[in-house]
Amino acid sequence: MSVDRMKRISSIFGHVSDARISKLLHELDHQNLVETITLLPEDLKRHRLKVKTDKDHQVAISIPRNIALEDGSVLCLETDRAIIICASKQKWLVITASTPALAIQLGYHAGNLHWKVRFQGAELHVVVVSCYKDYTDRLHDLFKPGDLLWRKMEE
Amino acid sequence: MGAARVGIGGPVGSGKTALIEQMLPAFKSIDISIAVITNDLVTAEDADRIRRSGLIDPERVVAVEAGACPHTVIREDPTLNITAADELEIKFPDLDLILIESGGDNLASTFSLDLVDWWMFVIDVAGGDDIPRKRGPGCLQSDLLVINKQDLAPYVGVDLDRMLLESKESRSGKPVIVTNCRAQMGINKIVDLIVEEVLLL
Repeated sequence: MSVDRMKRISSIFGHVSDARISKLLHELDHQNLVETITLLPEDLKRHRLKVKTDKDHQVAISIPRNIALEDGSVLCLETDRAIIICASKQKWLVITASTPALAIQLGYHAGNLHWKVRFQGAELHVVVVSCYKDYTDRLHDLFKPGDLLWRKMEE
Repeated sequence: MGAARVGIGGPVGSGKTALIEQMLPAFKSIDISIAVITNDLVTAEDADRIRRSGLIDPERVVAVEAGACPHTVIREDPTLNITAADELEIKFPDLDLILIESGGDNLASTFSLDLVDWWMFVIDVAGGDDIPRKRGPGCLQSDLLVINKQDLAPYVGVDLDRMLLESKESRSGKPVIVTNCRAQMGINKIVDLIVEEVLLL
């Protein structure tokens, strides 16, 4: 597609949760005029990116640094077209250590590996940026079988 | 909207500064107004080198001294670099692009997207052809992986084709470009990619 035909976005129009916008989107959707851009959770932090909508139209986004894309952001709302952002689910690796001592070791290694984590009860939830294997391979390197239990989760 | 911000990370000696020195005239030739931020541990070594190069107005080169592990100021707390970039944009309102070079770091180094719009990771063949197999976050997560010093491959026993293949296999379709900065090989491909993907021209 030529650069001239590329849709350029320099601000965020609004959000799908806005009642007035929602009503207009609903009407456009009936005419199949709503396009979606699906982004990975980590890409929501970007302010400049070139992406394609689900209708294969290219969009160049360049927004000020003081605003942020989010799930449901409406990039344009016109009489014959709307473009909205949809964030894909965040992948998590949920890990439980079998003893308090191993939990301390797990925390140490997670920090050393610069993993982004949150704590939930006895579980360590690790943000998976690329693929699960990149994380489980590290755990296989650092722990013995049976030391940890882990499972995949998306939310 | 402000200038686009591009990060350049990678191990010590992989050729990050040499790459910047090659890109500066290439961007100048297409009228892209540019500035550079370098990160060093406790010196301004890389900034001084670029200032002395004659390739850019020395006022447009800013040194950030991390004073700690280099990745901390490009990922964990990039405030120093964000401030430096903001100040450059105020001082030079015509800026299109700010290149932010990390201090040399290990394979786990990555850039915060609070700081940059897009970032590349520079490795070199002399560092060993097993680097892509180590699956460090720098190689996996960067928007572009650059394999520099292509010309040295036969002298250090590196199978460059295999290194390139393994790099591509590990990156889920994200680009890999082979360069020889000293001979300007591959530089235009990187410049073109930045123009298209970040400057959105």
